[in-house]
Amino acid sequence: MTPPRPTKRPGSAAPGIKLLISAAALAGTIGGWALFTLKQEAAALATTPPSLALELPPLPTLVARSSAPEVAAVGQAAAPAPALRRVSAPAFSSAPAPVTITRSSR
Amino acid sequence: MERLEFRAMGCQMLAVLDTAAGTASERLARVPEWFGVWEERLSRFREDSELSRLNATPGVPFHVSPVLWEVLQTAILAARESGGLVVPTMLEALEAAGYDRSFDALPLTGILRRPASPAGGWREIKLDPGSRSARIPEGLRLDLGGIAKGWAADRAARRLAAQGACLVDAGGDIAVSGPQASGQGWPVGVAEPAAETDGVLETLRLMKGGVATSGRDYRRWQREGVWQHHILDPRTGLPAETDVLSATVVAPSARRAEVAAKVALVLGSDEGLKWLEERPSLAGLLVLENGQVVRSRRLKQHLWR
Repeated sequence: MTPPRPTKRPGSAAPGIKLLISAAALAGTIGGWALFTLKQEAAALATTPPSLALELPPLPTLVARSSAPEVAAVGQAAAPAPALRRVSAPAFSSAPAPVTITRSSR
Repeated sequence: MERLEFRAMGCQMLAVLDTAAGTASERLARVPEWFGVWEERLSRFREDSELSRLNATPGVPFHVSPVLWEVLQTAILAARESGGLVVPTMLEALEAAGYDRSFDALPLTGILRRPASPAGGWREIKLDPGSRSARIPEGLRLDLGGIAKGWAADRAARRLAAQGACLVDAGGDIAVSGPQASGQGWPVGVAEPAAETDGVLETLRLMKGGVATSGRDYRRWQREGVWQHHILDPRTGLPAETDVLSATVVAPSARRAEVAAKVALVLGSDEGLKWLEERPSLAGLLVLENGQVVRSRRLKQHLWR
């Protein structure tokens, strides 16, 4: 009569290994996607400025100066706008020195 | 080219004669005498002037000298041409605003002695050519200040023209007889208003006729803390409220230029420029309160560029 062999619970370690493998696969997948996403964002940041920067007003020092000269004669009376000119700047002229000057009575 | 500067009519005067004739100096020396005579006739600041005597004699015909007769006619014509915006009947309003003595003697601060009122009545002035007399209605007195200077510049230039090409500047109202002896026009600067120096905003080429500037950048004073100036609006009797600081007009004569400049200033930039454009013999330049300069279309014909 053979003694009874101890009962071996078949596959008693398999669920743990399977669980470990599954967890590792899941972690790998998630990690991979995370890395991929980070790379994509990094690439996008490198090629286009952040949208936030576009919405900011230009810095005062970077505002383009008007190309119009200070003394700028524009349309005459027939034009929609009257002829305008800044007084502070002398008019370009090749005129000789005036013989006299017209001004309000004094 | 001979020049003579002197003071008359409360202003700085200049006469220039462009001729090689040896009599130029002699002729120029007579110009202050002419202005002296005209001032005796036309000044409102002299109690013994002919104008003051006319003002003191309302309601009856007053026989006047040829000079006062001519200037009265000129003043009535100006009132018509300006649609009542430049009238000789402003004396009450000027005094009400505080301008009751020559500007040199005018206190720059003080109180208003009486209220202003519109200055009408110029149509009631009766001129009788037959007797060369004038009758002004009761309660009305005349001031010929601005118009007299324009008239005097024209008259002096006409007299000097017999000697050669000439220019006469009567306190900013300028008349020329024609081109200079060289055939060139006269270079005349347009003063930058309120400038302490002789800043020139533009140089005009004046071939014939006149140019004048009317401005409220000078002859200003305060009454009860409010700035007053000598360009009154006859419609209110008050200093003109306008966006024009000074108006310069080129015209066929200094007299017409003086009137037109005043009209442009009183009307303001929009209406004033329109008024100038509607008159082919006029060209103008307006300096606005904000420093901008507005030119009429025809001004380019007179610019030295």
